[in-house]
Amino acid sequence: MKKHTILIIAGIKSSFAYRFKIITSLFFNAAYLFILYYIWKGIYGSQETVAGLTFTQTYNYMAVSTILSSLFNSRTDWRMSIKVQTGNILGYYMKPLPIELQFFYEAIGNVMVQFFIVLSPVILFMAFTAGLTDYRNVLFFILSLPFAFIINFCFEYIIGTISFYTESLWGIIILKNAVVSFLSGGLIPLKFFPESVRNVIKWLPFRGVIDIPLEILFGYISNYGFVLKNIAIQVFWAVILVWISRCFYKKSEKALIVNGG
Amino acid sequence: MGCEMRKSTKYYTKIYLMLISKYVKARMAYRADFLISLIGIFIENTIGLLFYSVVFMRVTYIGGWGYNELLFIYGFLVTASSVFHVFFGNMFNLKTYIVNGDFTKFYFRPMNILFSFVSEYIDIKSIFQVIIGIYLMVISSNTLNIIWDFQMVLLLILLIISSGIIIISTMTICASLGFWVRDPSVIMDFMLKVKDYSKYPMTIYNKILQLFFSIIIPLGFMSYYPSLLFLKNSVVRYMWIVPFQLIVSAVYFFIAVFVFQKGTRFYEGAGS
Repeated sequence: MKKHTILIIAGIKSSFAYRFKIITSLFFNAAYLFILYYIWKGIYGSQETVAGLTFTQTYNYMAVSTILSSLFNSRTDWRMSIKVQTGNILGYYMKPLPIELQFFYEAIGNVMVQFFIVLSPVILFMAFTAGLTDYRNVLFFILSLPFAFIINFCFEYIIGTISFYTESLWGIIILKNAVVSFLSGGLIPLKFFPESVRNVIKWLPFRGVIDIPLEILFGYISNYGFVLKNIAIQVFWAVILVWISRCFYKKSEKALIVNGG
Repeated sequence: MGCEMRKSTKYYTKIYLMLISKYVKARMAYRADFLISLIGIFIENTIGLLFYSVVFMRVTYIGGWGYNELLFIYGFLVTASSVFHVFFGNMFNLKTYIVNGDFTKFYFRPMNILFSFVSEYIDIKSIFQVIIGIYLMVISSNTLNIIWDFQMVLLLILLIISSGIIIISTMTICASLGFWVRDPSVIMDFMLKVKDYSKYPMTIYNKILQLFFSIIIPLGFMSYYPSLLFLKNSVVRYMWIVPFQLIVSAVYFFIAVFVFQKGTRFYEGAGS
C-alpha cells in the first residue's frame, strides 16, 4: 500500500512543480467556458429548447463536460509513447510495481490536484446557477468520477501500448481523441443525436467517461435505480477495459522485448 | 572450392534478403504511420463536420449563418491551417529542441535563426488538410451557387495565405514562450483550440468581444472575415476587409518574428 501512496504523492508533487501549468490551464478553461457560452447561445438563437434541453441545461452540461475532458486528459498515451522512444520505459520495469499501475498512479496524481482546483469551484457555481439543491447529485457524481477516469485511462493506456509497436502514435491519438470526445458527450450533449444513433451509442463504453457522470449530476436523483444502473454500467466497462488493456499490454510487451527496447 | 563458393552465395543471398526485408519493413512502417496519420486527420475533420451535421438536425442557423456557409468557413480555416502546419510544423518541436539543447546549433548557422529552424522540417501529411479544405469549399460554394471567376480564385488564394500567416504568427508567438517558460504546450494547446473556434461566425459574440477577437486575438481574420467576401456573393462590397486582413497578418507576423528573436537572445544569454 505504501508504494502506491508514494507514487500518487509523486504525481501530486510533480503537479505542484507544474503549478504554472495548472494555473494557466485554470485560466484557459475559464476562457473556453466563456467562448462556449457564446457558441451555444449562437446555436440556440431565439429557440427556447433544442433536443428537449433549454439553453441553461445544455450550457451547464457542456461546461462540466469541457472541464471533465480536460481533467481526465492525463496524456498517458503520449507519455508512454515518448518513454518508449527514449528508452526510459525500461526504468518502469525496474520498479516493483506492475507497469500499468505506475502509469495509472502518475495519471491520478496529476489529476487530483486539478480536480480540487478546477472542478470544485465549477460545481459550486453550478449549485447556485443550475439550482443544484440536492447534495446527493454531487455525491453520486463524485462517486461516478473514478470509474469515468478509469475508463478514459484505459483508452489512453491501450493506445499507449500500441506505441510499443510503432513510433508515430500521433495519428492514432488524434483519431482516438476525436472519436471519444464525440461519442462521450465531450463535444455535444448526447441528447442531440437522433434516436437511432443514441440507441447505438448507449451500448458503447464512451458515455461512461462524460455522459453518465453528467446524467447523474443533472438527473433526478430520487430515482436511485437510474443512478445505480448507470454506475453499474461504468463499473462494467471499467472492468472490461482494464482486462483488455492488460491483454494489449501483454501482447505489446513481447514486441518491446523483441525490438530490444 | 565450388562447394564453398555456393555456400557463400547462399549465405550472402540470405543476408541480403534479411537486410532488404528489414529495410522494406522499416519503409512499410513509415508508410503505415503516414497512412494512419492521414486517417487520423480525416477522422478528426469528419467529426468536426459531424458536429455541425448533428446540430443542424435541430436548428437552422448558428449565429445567423446556415450549414453550407459554415461549411465554407470551416473549409477555409482548414486550408489556411495547413499553411501553418506544413511550413511551420517544427514549432511544435521547439520546446524539445530547447530542452535538449539542440537549439544551440542554430546560433552557429550563417542565416536567420527562425528561417533555419522552420526549414528543418516539413509536415507532408498536412497537405492532406489542403485537399480536405478545398473539397469543402468547393461543395459548399456549389450548394450556395457562388460563381467563381479567375480573379476571385486569386483573391481566395491570397486571403488563405494571409490567414495562414496569421495562424503561423499566433502559434509562433506561443511556441516562442518556450524560450522563457519550460513547457508552453498548455498555451499552444490553447491557441490551437482558439484557432479551432475561429470556424464559428463572429456574429455569435457581442460587439466588445468581436473587437477583441478582431484585434487582440485575431480570431475573426483566421477564416470568418475573409470568407465573408465570397459568401455574400458580392466581393466588391466586402473588399474593404482585404486591406484590414493584410495589415493584421503583416503586423502579427512582425510581432511573431520579434518575439522569436527576443526569445533566441534570452536563451542564448541564459545558456552561457
